[in-house]
This record gives sequence, C-alpha cells and structure tokens, in this order.
Amino acid sequence: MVSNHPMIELRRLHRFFGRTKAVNDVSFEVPRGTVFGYIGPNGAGKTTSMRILASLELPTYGDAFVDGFSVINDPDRVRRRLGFMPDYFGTYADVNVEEYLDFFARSYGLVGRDRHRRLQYVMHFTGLDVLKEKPIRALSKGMKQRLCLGRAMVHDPAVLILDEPANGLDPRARIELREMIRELAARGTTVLVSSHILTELAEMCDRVAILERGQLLALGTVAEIQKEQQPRREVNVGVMGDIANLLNWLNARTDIGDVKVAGQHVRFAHQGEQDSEVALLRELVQAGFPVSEFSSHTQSLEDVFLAVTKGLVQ
Amino acid sequence: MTTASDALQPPLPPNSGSPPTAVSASAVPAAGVFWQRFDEMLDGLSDRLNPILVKESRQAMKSRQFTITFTLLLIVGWVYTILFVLVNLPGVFYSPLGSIMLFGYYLILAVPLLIVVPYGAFRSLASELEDGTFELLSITALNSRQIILGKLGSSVLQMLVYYSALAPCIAFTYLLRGVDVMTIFVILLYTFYATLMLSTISLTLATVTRSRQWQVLLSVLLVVALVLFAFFWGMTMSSILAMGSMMPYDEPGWWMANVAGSMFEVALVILFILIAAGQITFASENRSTSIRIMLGVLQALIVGWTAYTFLHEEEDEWLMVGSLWLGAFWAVAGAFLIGETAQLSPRARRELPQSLLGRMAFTWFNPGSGTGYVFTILNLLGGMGTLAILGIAHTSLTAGARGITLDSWTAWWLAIISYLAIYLGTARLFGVLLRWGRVGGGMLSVFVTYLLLVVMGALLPFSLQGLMQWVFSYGFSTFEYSPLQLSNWCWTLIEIGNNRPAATDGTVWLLVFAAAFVFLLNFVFATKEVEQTRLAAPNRVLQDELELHPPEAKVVKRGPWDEPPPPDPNAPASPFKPTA
Repeated sequence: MVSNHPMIELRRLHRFFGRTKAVNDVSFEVPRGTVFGYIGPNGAGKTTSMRILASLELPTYGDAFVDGFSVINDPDRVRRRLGFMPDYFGTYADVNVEEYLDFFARSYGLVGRDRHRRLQYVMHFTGLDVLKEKPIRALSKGMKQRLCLGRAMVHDPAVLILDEPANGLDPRARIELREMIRELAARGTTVLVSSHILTELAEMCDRVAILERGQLLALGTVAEIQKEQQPRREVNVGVMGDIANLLNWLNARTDIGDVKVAGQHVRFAHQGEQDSEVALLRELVQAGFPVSEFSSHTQSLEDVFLAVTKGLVQ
Repeated sequence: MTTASDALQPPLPPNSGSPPTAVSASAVPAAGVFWQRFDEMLDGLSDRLNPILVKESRQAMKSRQFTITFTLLLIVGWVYTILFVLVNLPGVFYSPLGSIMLFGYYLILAVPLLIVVPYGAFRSLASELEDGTFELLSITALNSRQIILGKLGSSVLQMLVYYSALAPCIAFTYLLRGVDVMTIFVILLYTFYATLMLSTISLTLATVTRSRQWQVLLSVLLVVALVLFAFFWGMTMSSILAMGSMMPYDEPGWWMANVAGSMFEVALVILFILIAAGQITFASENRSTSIRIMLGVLQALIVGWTAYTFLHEEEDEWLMVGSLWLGAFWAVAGAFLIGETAQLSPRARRELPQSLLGRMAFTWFNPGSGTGYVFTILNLLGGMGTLAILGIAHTSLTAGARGITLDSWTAWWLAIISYLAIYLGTARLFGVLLRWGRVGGGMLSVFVTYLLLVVMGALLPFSLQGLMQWVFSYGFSTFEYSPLQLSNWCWTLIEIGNNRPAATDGTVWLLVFAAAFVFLLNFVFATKEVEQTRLAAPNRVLQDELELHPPEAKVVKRGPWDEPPPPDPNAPASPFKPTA
C-alpha cells in the first residue's frame, strides 16, 4: 500500500557536536519519486543530516522521517525502505563483486530465487554483470561507485540517499551515474543526492536545498530559487546608431533600473518574467530603435549557489 | 560492458530476471542435473545461515591469515608426528607414549585456537568499526545480535576446521596408548570452551571503542593477555594429562562440577554476546533489559550451585564462598548498571509493562541508573536471602553444630548487602549530580567514582588509623579493628567472617541503617524512571504492522451455499464414523 506521507521529511532537525551546530533547525519534505539535490559547501551539514536520515546518528533535537517513520523511534522500519550510499566505499577484502552484493542481499533478508533475481537485476543495472567474478580491490573508482550504488539498491528501497556519488568520477561515468539516478526516479524511487558538481544536480534534480553552516538557506526548484534570488533579470540590448535616445527611453520606464552603457550596448535590470521581456523587445522595435542584439541573463545553479551562500565555514 | 543506458533499453524490472540456475534440464547430462540440484539445495540451506557467517567463511577461505595458519598447522603437525616417531623408535611400539604426544598436538592447536581465533574475532569486528563497513551492516535488516553471533559463528567454524585438521593425529595418540578417550575428549572440550569464551570476550572488547588509537592499544593488550592465558591453560591441560587415569571420571562430584562449569560458560557467553550487541545497537533501542535478565540467570546459577554444594558437602564455608561470589558479581554488574542513562526513548517506552503488577515486577528491568541500582540491590537481597534462609534452616536443623553462629551469619550477609547498597548508591547519587550539572554522569564517570569510593573507603580509614597509631602509640603492636574502620569493607568483612566482635557489637546495624538511608534516597531519585508509562505505537507503525502481518480473512456468509451442507438423514452410515 502506498502511503500519503512525504517519502523524506526533516522536521526541525538539529545536530550539535559540542559547540558546533552541524545541522541547525533544518526542515523540508521530499515527495515520492523525485530527485532532490542537497547542496552546500564543505561542513554545511549535508552528510550529517543524511547520516541521521540513514539512522546512523541521532539528532540532538527534532526528528527525521522516511515514509512516515521516525528515524529515532523506528529505525528498523526506516532501514527496510532506505538505501544509503555514503561518501566512502566500505568494501571488504578477499571478496568479489557478486559475493559482496550477495552478502548485502542476504543481510536485507532476500532469500532463494528472489535473491538471485535481484542480484542479476542490480548487476545488470549497474553494468557490473561482466565483472562479477572480479575482486573488489581490483575495481576502478568508477566501478566501485557503481558497486556501492548496487549495494544501496540491492533490496529495492523506496528511498535512496546518495552522498557525493559522482565524487572522483570521470565525465563519462558521471553521465552514466546521472542516467541511472534519473532511471531510478522514473521507476518511483525517491532520491536524495548531494554533490559539489552543481551543473549535474541542476540537470537531474526536481528540487534542491541549499545549506550553509547547518542552516537551510534556500529550498525549491532551481527556477524558484533563481527567481527568489534574482527577481529582476539582467537584459543586454545592442542598438545601431545614437544610443542617447535609447537611454532616455529606458530611464523613463518604471520597470527598468540600473542602466549602464558599454559601447553600443546598454545593460539594465528589468522587473518581470520572460514574457514581459518579449513585450519590451516589441516596444523597442515599435519605438523605432534599430535593435541589433537583445539578450537576458539567467542565473545558473552555480550563480544561485554563490549568491545564496557566503562561503562561511564553522 | 553494460552501462546504464544499456540497462534502459531492455528494462529488466525487479524480480523478473531468470534465476541463474535456470538451465534446461534436457541440455545438461544426468550427473550435471544432480549436481545442479545439489548446488541449489546447498544454496537454499545457506539461506538459513547467518549472512555474516556465510560472508566471513567466504572471506576466511580466501584470506592469507587463514591459509597461512592452516598450512602451518598441518605442516607442524606432520613434522611433529614424524619427528616424534623417529626420536622414540623403537620405544613407540611398546611404550605408552600417547599422553606425551597428545600434549605436543595440544600445543600445536593452542596457538590457533587460543590466540589466532580470538584475536581474529576481535580484528574482524574492530576493522568493521574502523573501516565504516559496520555502518553499512547496521542499516541492513540484520540486528546487532545477529552481527555478533555471525562473527562468533565464524570463530567456531574456524575452530572446527583446526580441530578436524589435527583429528587424525589426535586419533593416532590414542593408538599409541598412555591416554584414554575421556582425557582426550576433556582436553579438547575444555579448550573449545576456552576459545569460545575468549572469542566472545574479544568481540565484546572490540565494541568498547571506535577510536583507532584505542583499538591499537586494546589489540596489543589483548594479544598479551591471550598469550598469558594460553600459557596458563597449557599448564592446566598438562596437569590433566599428567593425572591421566587418576582423573576422577567415576566420581559424581566431578561430573556435577563439569555441568556447573558448562552452565556458567553458556550463561557468560550469552551475557557477553548481549553486552557486545548492546554496545553496537542503535542508541534509541532498549539495550538493557536482556542484559538484566541474563544477570538474573547468572545469579540464579550462583545461588543454585552454592545451595547444591552446601547441601551436598554439608560445609558452612560453601555458603560463605557463594555469598562472596554473589557480592562480587553484583559489585561488578552494579557498577555498570548505575551508570546507565535514565532517559527512555519513546521506542523503549512502547514496550513498558502496563498493569500494576507488571510495572511493580518488571519496571526494574527497564534501562536507567535508578532502576539499575534498585535491580541490583533487590537481586542481591533475593540471592543473599535465599542463602541466608538455607543456612539458618540448616544450622537450626543441625543444632548449630558448626562454629559459625546464627548472629554471625546474619551479620555477614547484611554487611555484604549494606556495603554494596552504600557504595553503589553513593556513586549513583554522584552521577545524578553530575548529570544535573551537565558535567558528565555517563557510565565511565560513574564507574570511576564507584571504584574510587570502594578503594578509598577501605584505604583511607586504614591509613588514618595507621597514622594515629604511629603518632600516638609509636608502633603497630596493637593495630586492631576499630569503629573507624566502618567504611573499610574488606577489614570489616574479615572481622565478621571470623566471628570477632564486629559481628555482634552493633557495627552491622550501623551499616544497615546507613544502607537503608542511601537506598531510600536513591529510590526517591529513581521515581522519574519508575513513573514512565507505556506509549502507544504511532498510527503509521500500526498501519505497517497490518501490512506486514495481515489478519486472517474471515469468511463472510453471503448465502445458503456458504453454509456447510446439512447431514443427509438417508445417507448410509460411514463405516469409519461411530454411529449414535
């Protein structure tokens, strides 16, 4: 039966280590089947809150829930629904790929043919089926990451928590990992993923949360945060001929500010959405200005991240 | 190589792949089918085994440590056999040299069994904690007991492999004469017990700290302790071998002692497993109740075997020895129980007893320092009370034939209980104060406080009296017990045990009064823990329980055809049913 609870919920989560507030009053929800990006500089509290969600640590105050179950009071029920891929490999010596996954499948209570089927599926999905006899110590970093993803999803969890899964991977491996995550989400798995590679997160995440010094600074879709951070869009207009008339025309408008001239180009801040920019361009042309260039600048996730965070560490 | 994009092309849904063993029977020869089925059967059997045991066995078979140890064991065993026979030729044909040769094999076995296997168990768990693999294990469906049992099972499996490697050699010693089957069995069994106990203690030690530095220190100390133990155990086994046919196998007392020893071994192994499992259990779980139950079982064993020995041997000293063991047992166990945190997680509170009787009887099994203190003292009272009733009844029935009087018995038991109540209670109150001041109050600080109190309680008055004697009397010629030594548990107990004036002059009643005061004070401070009531499970948990364990569907009658058919009066009577 599918519950109507958010798959992940952090409710006023706090985690202190002495005087250090690793996580300080963080709350958010992640709906079923979404990919949720967790962004923040080193020491922002991403790993700590992920470890609390994975029922590896207790919060100082507050609680976290997975499919409606508290990680404090029902860690066993949380663990049945959750796969966790930490930022370290955690592999055993003298064990090959298949034995490693088989061990975790057994540990999650899979038996008999179900276990074999699930192992086959996971090895196929992660592309490890051709390496199943290979000792883990002989695997490349990328393959080890795949193995760890395989381990996290071996029991078919409803929620996957991935801590820096793309760390140290080459571009190809990153793209493959991104595809895997999108595919998992398409099959209904809720994914919480942290990464330093923001362009990737922007491409695969439905929603993101930005953390710094343990505090939640921004939450929503990338577009929502962009809009929140940059309510006025920066527009660049190039005209041929005299620019003074254009300056007068622009200064007379109330929805335009911060007008700057750079050669034959005028840069200004425009209040409004993309459709009002279209209207502005139309008005410029109708006013008889010979517009040679019209462009507006949208902040990337990296810009948003830099705008939101202050680069503070604790 | 298959990539994610490949995986997307033929989407293989979960649980839809064909099993790897699904090879058509017609394509495989009959012998192949047999082995395939045999393999499937073994695979099915392995599903019933602890996953840790399966993984550790796979790892061990490939590990360098096992390969080297096993190969060395075989080589040394063979070399020793050949050399022993060559050196003792031709005497080996007519002299009973079996016991000497068996001792050699014992020494060869002792290194892997008493050192390598327990140390391997320690490293196995310690490295999981150091490398972070334990975290991955702890979020699986395995609980902490299964993890510890899997590790212990792996140790037992290794033991059996080592035993089996030298089994032909050991059988050979019997053929040489000079040693009987029973002695061989006893030596192997005792060593098995020792290895099992050492492995369990090693596993418990591995859970004490997760700091790499402390783990290194612990592993060095463990190796030294294991080597020393192996040396002394070797001496014990050599004395058993030296006794040979003189061993009292035909005496019931020997068998009873072995039964008692085996029961204590099993109980202690279970206790250590529970302690180790408790150490690695998630903080919000109830880690205490099962340990307390096991402590109760151990107390019952101490009391039961003391009573049996006392009644069998009819010597009062056994009661004294038993009560001393009981006191020492609770002095150690209580030291840890009074350091427990008093906070009960909502999860632990879901399992609290509800009825008045249940709460009165079982509240003391709940986690908490106050309940731990009361649990210790109540158990001690129960255990000592049982021994006291037995001793008093027996002394009365035998008309006080022996030297110890009724008064001295009472004084002895009361003194032990009082001392424990005072020292444990004071240390616990100190822990409560520390917690209030938020400056500690954890298990370690309470344990250290308790240890200091116990040591200083004995040493300070002893030193003070010595100093006074030296200052005022210029010598120790009349250094005798005085009321100043009231806190000196050691001297006071010796005085009472020897039936000297301290047993009858009211010293004990002062102790009892002080103990009652400390106990009441602790009881008042424990009320918060006692007040805890059961919490109802959240709706989400109940919903999940319903999904996991759906109730049996009831048959709803919708029409006459759902009714069982009425008996046909014209039908012939069944020959198998009795007729009216």
